[in-house]
Amino acid sequence: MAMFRLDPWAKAARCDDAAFREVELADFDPFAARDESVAVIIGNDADLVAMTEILRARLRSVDAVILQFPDFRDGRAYSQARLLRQRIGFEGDIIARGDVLRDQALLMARCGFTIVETDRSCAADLAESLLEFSAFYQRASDGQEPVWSLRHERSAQSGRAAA
Amino acid sequence: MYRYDEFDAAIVKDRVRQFRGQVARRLSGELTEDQFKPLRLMNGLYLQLHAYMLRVAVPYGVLSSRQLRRLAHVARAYDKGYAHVTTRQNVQFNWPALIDAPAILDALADVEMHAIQTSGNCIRNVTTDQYAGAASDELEDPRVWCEVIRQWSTFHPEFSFLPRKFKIAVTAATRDRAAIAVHDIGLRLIERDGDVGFQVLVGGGLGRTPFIGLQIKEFLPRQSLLSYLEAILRVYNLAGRRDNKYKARIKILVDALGIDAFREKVEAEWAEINGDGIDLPQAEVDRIKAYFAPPAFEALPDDDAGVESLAASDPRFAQWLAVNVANHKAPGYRIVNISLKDPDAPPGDISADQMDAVAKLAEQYSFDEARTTHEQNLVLPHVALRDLPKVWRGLDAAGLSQSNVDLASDIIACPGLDYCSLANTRSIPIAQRIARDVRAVGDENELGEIGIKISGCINACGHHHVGHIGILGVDKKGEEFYQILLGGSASDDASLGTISGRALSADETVAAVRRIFNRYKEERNDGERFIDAYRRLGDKPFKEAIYGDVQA
Repeated sequence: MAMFRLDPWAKAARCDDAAFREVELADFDPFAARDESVAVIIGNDADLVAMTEILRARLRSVDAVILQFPDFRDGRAYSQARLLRQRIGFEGDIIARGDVLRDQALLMARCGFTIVETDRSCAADLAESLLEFSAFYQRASDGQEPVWSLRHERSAQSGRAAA
Repeated sequence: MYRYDEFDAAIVKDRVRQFRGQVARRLSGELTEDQFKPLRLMNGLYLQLHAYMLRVAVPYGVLSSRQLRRLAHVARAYDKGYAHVTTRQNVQFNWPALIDAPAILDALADVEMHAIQTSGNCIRNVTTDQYAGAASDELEDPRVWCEVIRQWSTFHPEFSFLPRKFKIAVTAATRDRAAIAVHDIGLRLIERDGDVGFQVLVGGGLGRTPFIGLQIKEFLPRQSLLSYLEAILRVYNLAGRRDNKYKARIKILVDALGIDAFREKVEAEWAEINGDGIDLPQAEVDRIKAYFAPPAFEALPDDDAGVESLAASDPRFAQWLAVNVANHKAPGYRIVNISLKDPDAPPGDISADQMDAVAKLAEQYSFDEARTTHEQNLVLPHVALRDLPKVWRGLDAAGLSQSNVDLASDIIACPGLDYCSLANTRSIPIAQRIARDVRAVGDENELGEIGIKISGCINACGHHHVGHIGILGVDKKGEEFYQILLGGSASDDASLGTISGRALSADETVAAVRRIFNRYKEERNDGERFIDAYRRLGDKPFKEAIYGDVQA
């Protein structure tokens, strides 16, 4: 099992430095003193909507959150990642753990995952799959401008050029 | 119709390239069939009883003549010379080879077509009224919003692995021709105090556990459509059941929580999403809307001497005019329905030559546009009244002048055991036998509007729950039997049919349907449709007709 950082520009580099002390959300004490990076494990049936306020406070000092894919067909963690990014404002790493297909890495990156844990794939494959699409129709959690925004940015620019 | 700009074109080309790589990995053995399955399914490639089946998306049922010709080419070059129109307004090829799939997708991408999200647990092809932009009873063109939804839902990163597939339908007309009440989300454009917005239904669907959709939002402002859809989908993605695929559709979640509790969750999510930059700016809606501007209709009189004299002299044309031609919003124009329900062919099948013929007629007489319908027929949406004789002759020469739209032989049937690996029974032969019976007796006009829908198993792809007469195939100790349901409808008077009694053999079923027809003819009031007579009389006379005095 290895961790790969989902960064297309860094070619989905293997990240050997990503060593975390893992702790279940229920056991996590945000006030405990510590000297190592902490990753909080959240179950994919955890109701993050109901826990928004608690998580905002608790995850402030956390380095990473681990979300789970017990089966590649189980897509709950995509929504959980988006809630972590957009609702809870979590800025640390979000790690995808479990049954992850290389062909899902781009979807994960778009939803806010930064690291994929897998033995199925090598970094080159992941990088390839991250670059398979050049444009996106919808805004997600990866900062990519959707095409509807690019279309009008472009026409505004050409409008200015014409003026 | 909508045309791709460089972004749309790039996304489809990217997908073809990605899929070509996936197929190569499968053919080289790098991927097992098990690993390949979810990848091919997301591109509409199914493994059926005898071969692969490729389902091509026809976004909201709109086709140009160029696209139709390309489908004809694919049918000739890669299939057995025909294609099949589905109840999601898509087109299926039943015999492509795996190795050809990327080439087929390339050929389709050249004409702005693809197979994206025609299967898998994602948001499927959004469907609409086949008369959109032509109907005299519509508020505005629903295709604008279908295209908005198409773009938003394409490769949506959060909603590509939902608990189960997800179907959205949109209508803007008084009469619902898009069956919105039996969709996961049904959208109806309505006007309130001068504003146009959506009435939103949720949790409808057929399958093993049918439900009529419930209203979740009485009036959603148009500009908030995507954020509201995103809220519904997020609640569903997080809370929908994943332990049992037969209980995974949103209808089960809505039913379990109750519509009020479900609405509360969605509204709370929607309030939070507000400001996440999901909804389109007006400039983008206007850009899309411009593609659906009405064609340049001529100012024409709404009567035509040539049409009248041909109708007076040729009863076949008169029948076609009365049954297959519908009113258009522009004076002097008509909507032409093309029936793909020849009693001697599987419902919804069309040959390559027929596709070319329709393409030519669309090009010459219908502003280059054709439509597919969820009833598995085609439509030429904008034909000048004066051109109807020429269009009819063209269709007749191509074997496409069946005059039975909405009548008893216009049957929806799933592929059944002839093609499908899930089916328990055959569907197509039952449809054909009922159609031939009606033709032999010669009372199809007299019977009037009757929707017969046939499914070869409980997955209900033939929509039997919403047939005025529904037929469901069941396996009894290896033998094919059929249950008859009565009283369903998928229109604005949506209702689910009820099972009439014990299942019958194929022979008994065809005979029983005939007895239902005869009883209806005896009992009905003047001008009363079958479904209205059934609702007035209840099921008793029809059960008697099916089972006689014997207890069902």
